[in-house]
Amino acid sequence: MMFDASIERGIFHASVHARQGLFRRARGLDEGERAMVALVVSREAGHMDLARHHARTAAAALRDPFAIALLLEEGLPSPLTGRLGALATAAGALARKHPSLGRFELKRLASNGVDADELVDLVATVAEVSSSLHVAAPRLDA
Amino acid sequence: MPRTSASLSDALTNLPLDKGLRKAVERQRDAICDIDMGERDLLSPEQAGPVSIVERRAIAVYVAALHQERELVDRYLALLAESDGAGPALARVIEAEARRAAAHHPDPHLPAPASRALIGERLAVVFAHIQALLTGDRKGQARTLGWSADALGIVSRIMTLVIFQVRMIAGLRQCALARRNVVPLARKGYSHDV
Repeated sequence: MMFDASIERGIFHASVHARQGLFRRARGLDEGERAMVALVVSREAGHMDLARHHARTAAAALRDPFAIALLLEEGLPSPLTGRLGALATAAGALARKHPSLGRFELKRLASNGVDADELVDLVATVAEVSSSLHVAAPRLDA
Repeated sequence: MPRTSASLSDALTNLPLDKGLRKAVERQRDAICDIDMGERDLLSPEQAGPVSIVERRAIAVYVAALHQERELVDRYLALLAESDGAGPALARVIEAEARRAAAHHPDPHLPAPASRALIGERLAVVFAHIQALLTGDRKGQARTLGWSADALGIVSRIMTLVIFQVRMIAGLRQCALARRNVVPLARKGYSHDV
């Protein structure tokens, strides 16, 4: 199954495709931020084609395509600052085999306005992308 | 002894979340319930099709154990042990094999002959396939003797389900621990601090 389809429908596509999936939340990160998180998780796992695919989505949705290009090019540790930098760093920490989000990353998120709903969304987005990597195939024509 | 959770909702309820995180998780109740329903569809289907219920639950135990998420291992072990055609002995062997495989990860680990006899050739093949999927070993991924494309599709969905839950539980647990000594999170907004 294509990864894109799981984003559209939520991860349990077969039985719940008509319901609201975790990727369609009233609260939480916006579409571009989620795509950036997906870019980080894919890149850190070595799935560069998938990372490029998410980078295109993120660059189109966010106000800062240069930041996305830089993240795709250099990976983590990221030179990005502000909210995007805080989210990218936290996504990388959560995507490790043993998640290692610490007080510093959490303070950085908080000082950049990331609230509890967005933190849960960040965790869910990392979880969704990580869980799809073993079956993920980027749709290059998207 | 901690009680075994019955679902993702249950597992998240058991986490030591502060008030803010707990409320945020509760606001996602519908999505989390969908995941619980997806789990029931996959691990306790009315019609098992090309992957038996014992196999489905054994795969869930194996994937959770490979990721060393105790909460999930215990839940799926309990489910496996109560399956027709399985029992505590099979559940224990599968868990032990997964633990050994996790210790060797990312190097491949094949079940010992005695374990293989208990697990059966079909599950041994799919366990090796799962390890290959997780390590990106393309040769290993192709060794699926006895498993149809439909069956492998179900295996893949079970892996997605389990890994998603592993990541949700571990990620939120990590957030909960990190938030213990951090000031409350700010309201949503953009700033360029830090």
